[in-house]
Amino acid sequence: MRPSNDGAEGDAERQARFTALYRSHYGAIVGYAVRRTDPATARDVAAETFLVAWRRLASVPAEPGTAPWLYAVARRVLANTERSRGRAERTAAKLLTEPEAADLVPDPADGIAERDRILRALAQLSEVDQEVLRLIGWEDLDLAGAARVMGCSRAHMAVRAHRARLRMAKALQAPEQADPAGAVGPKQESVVEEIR
Amino acid sequence: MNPEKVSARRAQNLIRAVNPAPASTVADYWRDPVGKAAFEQIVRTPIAAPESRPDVTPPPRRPHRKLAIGAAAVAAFALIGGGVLVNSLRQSQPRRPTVTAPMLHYTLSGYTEPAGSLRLPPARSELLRLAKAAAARLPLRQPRGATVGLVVTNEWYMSTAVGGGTSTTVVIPEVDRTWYSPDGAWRLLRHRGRPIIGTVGSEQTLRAAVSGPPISNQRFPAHDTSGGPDVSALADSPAQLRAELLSAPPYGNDGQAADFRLFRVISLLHHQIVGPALDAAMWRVLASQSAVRSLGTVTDRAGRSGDAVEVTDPQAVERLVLIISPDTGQLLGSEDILLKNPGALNMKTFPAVTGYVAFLSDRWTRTS
Repeated sequence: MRPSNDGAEGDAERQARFTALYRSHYGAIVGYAVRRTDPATARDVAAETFLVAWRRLASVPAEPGTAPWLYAVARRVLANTERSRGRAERTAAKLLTEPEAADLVPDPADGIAERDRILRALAQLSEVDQEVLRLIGWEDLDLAGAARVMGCSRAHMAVRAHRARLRMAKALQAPEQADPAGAVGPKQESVVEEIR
Repeated sequence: MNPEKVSARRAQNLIRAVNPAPASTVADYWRDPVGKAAFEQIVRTPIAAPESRPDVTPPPRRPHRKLAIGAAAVAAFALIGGGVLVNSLRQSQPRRPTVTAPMLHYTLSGYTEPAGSLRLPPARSELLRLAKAAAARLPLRQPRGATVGLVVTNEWYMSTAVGGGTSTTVVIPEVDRTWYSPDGAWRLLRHRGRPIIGTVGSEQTLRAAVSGPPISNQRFPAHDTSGGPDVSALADSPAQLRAELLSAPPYGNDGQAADFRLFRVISLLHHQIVGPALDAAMWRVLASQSAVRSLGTVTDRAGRSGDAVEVTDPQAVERLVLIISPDTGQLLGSEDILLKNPGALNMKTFPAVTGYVAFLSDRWTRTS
């Protein structure tokens, strides 16, 4: 018989619970990872996350705490993966910013719905600010859920979210985000106003 | 609602609008082959002793993650476009998995993985509905004197750099602008787009894959047929249009099945501005082809919702897909997919994308 760390839970019950967990949350965890890394790595991050959940099933909280718990694991897995990426990938990043690759033209698809500008403003924020805004905007977590992922109190998360929003508004208004004449366009101005 | 909450909600909506992977696009990933394979591997993993906090023990890895990173001089650089295989790869091909562009996620009721399925429902009713949507669309505004059609696309065909012991695939879409003049002459201005995946081999290999002239700027005379016939000369009646499309260069005599020729020439012709009536006629032509099947709905590479229709070759190796806007009946993109391993590319995961075109914008202009 396979060793178990869950005591009361039998194999069948354990597998049934994990299957339900996997079906309910696998897509969300792939989504979490794919929003932060390339699609292939995202699948690996999801697999690692659920391997952790499988091995520590007794520790996985019941709903609604399941998703934040999984996101917290995925966040650690992703950080680990990014840290362990080797020299080769750093070389790739370097190559792609070298002059010979710097003449790549902007992808016109980026123009759709101003995605590029907003994403560039987001990218200017600190990793923590970005993660706070992404957890709330992309993973659709409330302050309590985001706090569980980040390992802080709800009150602390509220402060973090408030500050991240202010810094995002500032980034959207930063000179390098403005048009070539240095002026903030009317549409941009309204977006900045909206999130202040 | 207090101002702080309003501001928070607005910020949330702003960030949500740039979500690169909305929840609806990933919800069914557990059903796809990668999700299922990961599940099977996980539940076969022995359960470790309990630990005080979540760990990050090495996971079940997908095959491509085992790709060795090695240093080697580039031995060959091959481009695969339209077709699938090149002989130069057969000789020095290291047995490493080849990575391709990400597969789009098709959603079709009753199918867990329509992109790889060989039994798909007919697309007739879907295409007739799309023809109706196209016919109801207003023609593109054409300012006085603007007679040159300009179409902007993103395109990618598998490009693989092969070195001693290493093969690297880098997905670098081209950003193409095609001008088509009333006299049939046309111009293709091609830039390299931003790489969307960089699978890294040696530095030299990667450099080979991303280097090369940044721009190609070609002009083609009116009698050149590589861009297909002038769409303004094509019939709007489906029966006549079908005959014209099947005989149209450059695919008219290439020996491929009729359905394949139709898909390829329709994608090619959309590098010109195709009006509502012609779009509607094209979808009616495809609706009359019994081999054309539905792949359901999909979010295309520019983030737009589309209906997907496909045709598969009799050997069930290659699948061509057209993605059409359900609202306007416009062609949004086309995808080339391999359903099984053709042998030479050492690809491990199927179905796999070997090329795509995303039609991004079109407008009338005065000059090319």
